[in-house]
Amino acid sequence: MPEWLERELARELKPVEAPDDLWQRVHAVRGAVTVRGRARPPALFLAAAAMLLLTAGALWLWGNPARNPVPQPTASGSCYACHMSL
Amino acid sequence: MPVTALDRPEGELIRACQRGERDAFRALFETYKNRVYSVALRFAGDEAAAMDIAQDTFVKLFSTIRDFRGESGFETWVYRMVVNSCLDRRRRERRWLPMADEFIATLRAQGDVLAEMLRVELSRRVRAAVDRLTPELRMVIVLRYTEGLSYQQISDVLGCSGGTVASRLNRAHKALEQRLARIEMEGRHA
Repeated sequence: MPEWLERELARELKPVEAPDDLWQRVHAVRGAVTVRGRARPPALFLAAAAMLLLTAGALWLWGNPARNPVPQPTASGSCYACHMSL
Repeated sequence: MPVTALDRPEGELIRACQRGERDAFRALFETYKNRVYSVALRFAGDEAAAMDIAQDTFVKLFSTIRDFRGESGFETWVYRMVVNSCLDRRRRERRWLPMADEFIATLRAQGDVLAEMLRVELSRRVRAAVDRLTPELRMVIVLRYTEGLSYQQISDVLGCSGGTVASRLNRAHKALEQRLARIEMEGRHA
């Protein structure tokens, strides 16, 4: 690359100072924007996980009525819930 | 003397920002505002657009700073943000600056006045020629000449190989040389 081009690019593209009102503009917008990150997602994640667990538990119980024994009287008068080994 | 936010080492400042400390945001802003604004201005070519890009960059930066894990340098991370803001804006606008051709009128002037006019004209032409580069080529030129980044730093910021950076710079230089050689030659003869 010719030296004159290198020189012109360095001159024309040199860094500049940011205007003083940039902070006001950023600050004004940022007032409406909260710092997001780890603070919010865990709360959402925990709520979703709790819902999922409750739903899964309900489905499991619904699909496995035998695991949720209701005392049944037997002919001999004993109870399955109390005498599973029988 | 009390230690202000500006005196704190950068790592500590970043952690303070991640905790949401207001002073730390201001200190980080002061550290990077000129670099962010310079890239935005040299890429966009006008002050209003540069302000929008810089504002957008800092708002994004502050709202996502908790995602910064330190896998790359913080400076690289900031440059990536401003580069993305520039390219996003470019994609949204798809605006091409028309280049007025006032060069013939300039050539009619004489002597020192002519030399000065050519100097001003060359300056205007350089900016116009940079504006006319494709966004990818323009960005490597801005990162190289405005920020003085090395090939390696540019490749880290843009997420491409050093070879790609070298090739883009080479293409940009050739395009600029082609567009500017004539007026530079006239300036030398004036």
